Amino acid sequence: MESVPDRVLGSMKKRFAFAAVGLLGLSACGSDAGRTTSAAIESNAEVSPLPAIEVDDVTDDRRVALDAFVPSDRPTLIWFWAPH
Amino acid sequence: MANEFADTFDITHTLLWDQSFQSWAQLGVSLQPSSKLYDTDGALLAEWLGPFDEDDVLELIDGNQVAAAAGGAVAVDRFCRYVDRFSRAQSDAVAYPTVSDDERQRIVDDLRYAANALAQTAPSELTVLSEQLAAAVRAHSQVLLDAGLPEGLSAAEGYDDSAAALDAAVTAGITPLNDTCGVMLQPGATP
Repeated sequence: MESVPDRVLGSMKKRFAFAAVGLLGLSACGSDAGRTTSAAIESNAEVSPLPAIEVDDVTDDRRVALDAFVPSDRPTLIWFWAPH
Repeated sequence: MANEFADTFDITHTLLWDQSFQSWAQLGVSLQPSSKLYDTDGALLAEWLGPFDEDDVLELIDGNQVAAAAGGAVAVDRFCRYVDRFSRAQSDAVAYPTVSDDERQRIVDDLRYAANALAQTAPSELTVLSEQLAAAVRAHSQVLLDAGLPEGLSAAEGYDDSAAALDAAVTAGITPLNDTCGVMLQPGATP
């Protein structure tokens, strides 16, 4: 049987009229697993609906600013998944 | 784990990993899989729990592409906000040698965050310059982090080289970023 990631990601690969962003978290492990940037202290609501924090870009192997993904010149779909 | 996931599902779109879960908490996501769809202005168009229908997404975003001219102006404005933020982070960094360990961490985090953000949002003509600046900030930050964010900067191995590279990147950006954003970066202002 096809898994949920298969179904969702398969669909996301078909057409890219929007920017697709997968945002993975560490499932059921609390908040002690990683360091967060203190940049989150500064409110960023007037610039982006996303938090002003750094996350790892797995595809480019670097730290990136999450809020810099939205707004964008294309609509953005963010998909949240926590691998077990 | 995130890399395994990307390999397993042959992912080609942007894949982010938030080990802290902070983004989920701030966005009110507590169940998975969840999805949120934002328009070009950042307004939330829809959100789903579980699988969603691709056709629903395409219908929701129909026509929501920014026209090239209008989008360009918005994009530059957004980029300039991050340039300004980097400049303010530079100003805050003056206090680096005299503040607590936590504050030094915050200063380095803010510089790296702002540099990454401006590189991510740079207009095409400033992409190379911005990427070079962000790379120099990341490398210099790593030198400081590896040395335990020392109060005395000479205690950081490789400090002279990374600081010089960062100064060169900042200097290269002064005129183009001032022309584009009216923000003057400061060489030598980072720790």
